[in-house]
Amino acid sequence: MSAPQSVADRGTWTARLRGVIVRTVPEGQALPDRQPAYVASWIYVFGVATLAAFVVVLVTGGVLALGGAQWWHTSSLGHYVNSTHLWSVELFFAFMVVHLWGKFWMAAWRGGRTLTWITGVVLFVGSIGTTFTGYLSQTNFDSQWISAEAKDGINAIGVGAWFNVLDLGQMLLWRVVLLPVVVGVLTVCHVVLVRRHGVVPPIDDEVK
Amino acid sequence: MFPDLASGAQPGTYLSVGVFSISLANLLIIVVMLVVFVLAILLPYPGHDEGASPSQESLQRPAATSGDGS
Repeated sequence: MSAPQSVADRGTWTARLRGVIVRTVPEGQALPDRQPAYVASWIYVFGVATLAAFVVVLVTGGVLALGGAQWWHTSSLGHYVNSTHLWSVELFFAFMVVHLWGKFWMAAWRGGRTLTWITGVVLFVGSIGTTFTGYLSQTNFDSQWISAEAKDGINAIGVGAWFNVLDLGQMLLWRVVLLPVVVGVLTVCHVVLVRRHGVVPPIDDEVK
Repeated sequence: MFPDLASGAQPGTYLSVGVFSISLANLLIIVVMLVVFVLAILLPYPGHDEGASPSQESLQRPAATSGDGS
């Protein structure tokens, strides 16, 4: 009696996709409950601290979107949520930079982790660009002055026709839709790569 | 009575050395981040047994796969 044909053998797209997922992150590595001893250090906390701050950024940004771009000018609750959004971004960058310093001095690109490092660098630069659009979305004199200053720089690199910093509507949509999606997708890629290759060991540990 | 610090109405204090200029607030934040970085390296992680060998605690040490993250 032959064994029943497995789903993988049928060549369906779901089976192929499952195969890709299983090959991308080995079994047990996606959400491991144990880590190597060298991970027991505060310096390894800043990656997940950055992720936690990013979640707060997304949640508070979502609440701000409910109230609208000018909500925080007229509502104490809106002002509070706006401040929470601002300070979660501040913590996001502070944690990310400490994470970057730690990974740089660990030479965290070792052991086939080049793409992990590259996605982290792109995330860092992309996050800065995303945050700059926040300055343009304040709907106050500050954002007017900043956008007027920024337009010359944007025009100088030749993208002003597609990325018009004086257009509040366009900047707001870039800020709340396009850029967070890009940063979110890159973050998922970065975390998947970390889980695929594991946390980089200390340099002296690798030499042994 | 209190300065309106929250709105950024005050010009702020800037430190300048030659062509380099930085606000006192930004300089303090950078210093605090450096202190946090040093403390993160030096402070022991709670619940971690320093005497245990890596092999005793280590499980599923991730093996680097071939290629650069592909």
